[in-house]
Amino acid sequence: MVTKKNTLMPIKVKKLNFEKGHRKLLTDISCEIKAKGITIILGPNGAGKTLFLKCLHGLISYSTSEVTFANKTLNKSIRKQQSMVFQSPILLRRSVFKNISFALQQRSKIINKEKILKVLKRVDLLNLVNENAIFLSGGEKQRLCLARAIVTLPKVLFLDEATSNLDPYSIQIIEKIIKEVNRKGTKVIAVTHDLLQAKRLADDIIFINKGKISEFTSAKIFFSKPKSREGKLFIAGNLVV
Amino acid sequence: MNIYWDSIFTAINLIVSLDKKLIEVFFLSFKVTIIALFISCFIGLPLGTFLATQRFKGRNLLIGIINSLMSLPPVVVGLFVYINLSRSGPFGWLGILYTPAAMIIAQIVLILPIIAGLTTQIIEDLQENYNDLFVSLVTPKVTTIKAYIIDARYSLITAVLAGLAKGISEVGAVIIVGGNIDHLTRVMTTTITMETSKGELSLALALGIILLITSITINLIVTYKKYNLKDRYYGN
Amino acid sequence: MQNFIISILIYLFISVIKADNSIILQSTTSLKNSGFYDYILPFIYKDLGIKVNVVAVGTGAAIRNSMNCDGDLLIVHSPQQEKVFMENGFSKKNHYIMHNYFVVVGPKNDPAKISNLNVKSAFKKFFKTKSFFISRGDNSGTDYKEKMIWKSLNLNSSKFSVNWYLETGTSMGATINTAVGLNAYTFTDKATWLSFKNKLDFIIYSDDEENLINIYNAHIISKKKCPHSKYKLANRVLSWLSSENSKKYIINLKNKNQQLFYVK
Repeated sequence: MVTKKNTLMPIKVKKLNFEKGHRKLLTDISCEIKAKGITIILGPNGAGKTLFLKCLHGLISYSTSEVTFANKTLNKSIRKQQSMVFQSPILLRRSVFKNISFALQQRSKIINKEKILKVLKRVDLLNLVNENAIFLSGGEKQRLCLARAIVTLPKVLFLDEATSNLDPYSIQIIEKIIKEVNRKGTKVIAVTHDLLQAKRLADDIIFINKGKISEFTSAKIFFSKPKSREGKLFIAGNLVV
Repeated sequence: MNIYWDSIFTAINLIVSLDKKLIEVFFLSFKVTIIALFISCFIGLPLGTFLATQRFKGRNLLIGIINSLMSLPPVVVGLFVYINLSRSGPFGWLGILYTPAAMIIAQIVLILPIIAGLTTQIIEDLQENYNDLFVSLVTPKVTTIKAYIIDARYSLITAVLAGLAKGISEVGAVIIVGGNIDHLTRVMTTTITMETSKGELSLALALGIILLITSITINLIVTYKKYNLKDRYYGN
Repeated sequence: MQNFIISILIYLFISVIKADNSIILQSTTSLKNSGFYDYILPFIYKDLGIKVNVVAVGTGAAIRNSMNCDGDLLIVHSPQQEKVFMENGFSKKNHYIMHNYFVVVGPKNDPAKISNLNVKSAFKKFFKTKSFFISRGDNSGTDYKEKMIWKSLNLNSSKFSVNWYLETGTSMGATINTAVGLNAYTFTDKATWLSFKNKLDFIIYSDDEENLINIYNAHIISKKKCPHSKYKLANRVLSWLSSENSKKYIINLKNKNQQLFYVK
């Protein structure tokens, strides 16, 4: 299968700093994320992973740094080619179908019903198409969020601990879809602190600790012989935050 | 107390006999308030949502002003609208003083801050939850505001009912700008005031009872519907 | 939805333009509350085809509204206040319409013992015995008249305010309601009193005295001061009201067989 070139890649971050009050939450983050594969951002709680992801997606404004996608600074038209799944599902108080169609409407004028039903089938929610999203279980809600994120065929898909607290069935579906969309050319950048999941999905690992990138290597290297001391401790479950 | 029974019998008598005058003032009351309410919602719901969801300079000041306007006495509103619509005032050329149109305008001035203020409070809670999604989807402002209103619709009913209650019960504003003119601008509340000053206390109280019954009926129906639909669509 | 909005706009538009063959009459409340307008306006409409929209407020407010040009015709009962109105050029002449009398009303047991006294002696008695007295205090014609009586006795009513002399600042009816509630005396025009319903055991003292005459005058709002006023229609209504024919109607208006208004 021929995959199209991802026109938003690579992502370059130069000296990203983020402060809240007097606390430095992100310090001098610089990196270049390549088009290929799934990049997992790993790190303990409170390391700044979610914040970093939100900065990449442009949910949080920052001034001191520059984030570029294919050498263009982040702007609305770039953000329109990205999607994000949040840690706790954000859904409109409407039917499952309308939640998807709302997102689709923001990208194109025409709502393709077939397309919506197809994506709902992928996340196994076809039987709940007219149900109000409020009534879904936690796993169903997050699957719906994923469906909404991928229906617009984003070039970059951000996931912020999308599978924490979910049942194995939902995790399995979500991970399967993440791999599929990645294979079809969507860059996936996901935050997790679940080591096993990182092992299952990651091609690259960005390991963040205390607001700094401690390590940015391929998954193979990270899990076999991590270079940083923090990385070693984290894998062993001994990193004290 | 005899007057209670008197008023209740008078009220029943007025309703059962479909008293022509009663019907006239009753429907004018609702016509004026419903139109004022509709226009206030048309402006107030988006305005309140805008204030709840957007951050800009002077926002807090604006919210503060709107919240204070909620407690404006109707008489002051009436006087303000009167001064503007008076033939010697800036909008005198419209020639709408002492017409239902003037009463509608006065009630909009009264109701709009209530709708906008309560909407701001209601939508603010939702905004914390939804904001990231709309930013992520790069949703245009107008669409965002519409989505907030649609999704908070059952909570917003409370704001609309508060507006209705204010409009239907106030007398201070409509009596000044409407003039309580027979067959033209006489509504329930101004009739009650007039009958009181004629010493027709039981008739005045009877009209009050009819107004109360109507309010209770509307509120019960809407509240019942609201929770019914809310259960169906929102759960819990 | 859109249709609804459009129909509202049309409705607003209609209510804006509908006031063609009608005039606004700024009037004192007593004429409205006594049922005078309910009785007389249908005759005017029948004869002239003019709809008279009555805004009933206190004389002071009626004059102020008229000075803002928010009326075409003015009917009030306070010669001194009318004088100021005319001096300001808002009306050329006061046209006599009818008259009746002011009265003092109070509880039947008569705590101040004023039965058989004329009005001035009664007022003196109120002062001496500090009997509760309720005043309009709203700058209306009745209020003005009452203040004039105190003045003619060299008594400054504002000095004994609160103690036993209470000003309600509201309409005649509301003031009588207060008086009835407090078992106090009050000063009112006779038409309002006769048609008032919540009298309990209250009765009239000091009646039909010539110096208590209560004259209702009409004024056409000056075209010069208020170019928008419906001068011609107001004039037709006024000449109807001052005609011999209408006098017959006026003297026939009765409440429980008591005549409300008189004509010269």
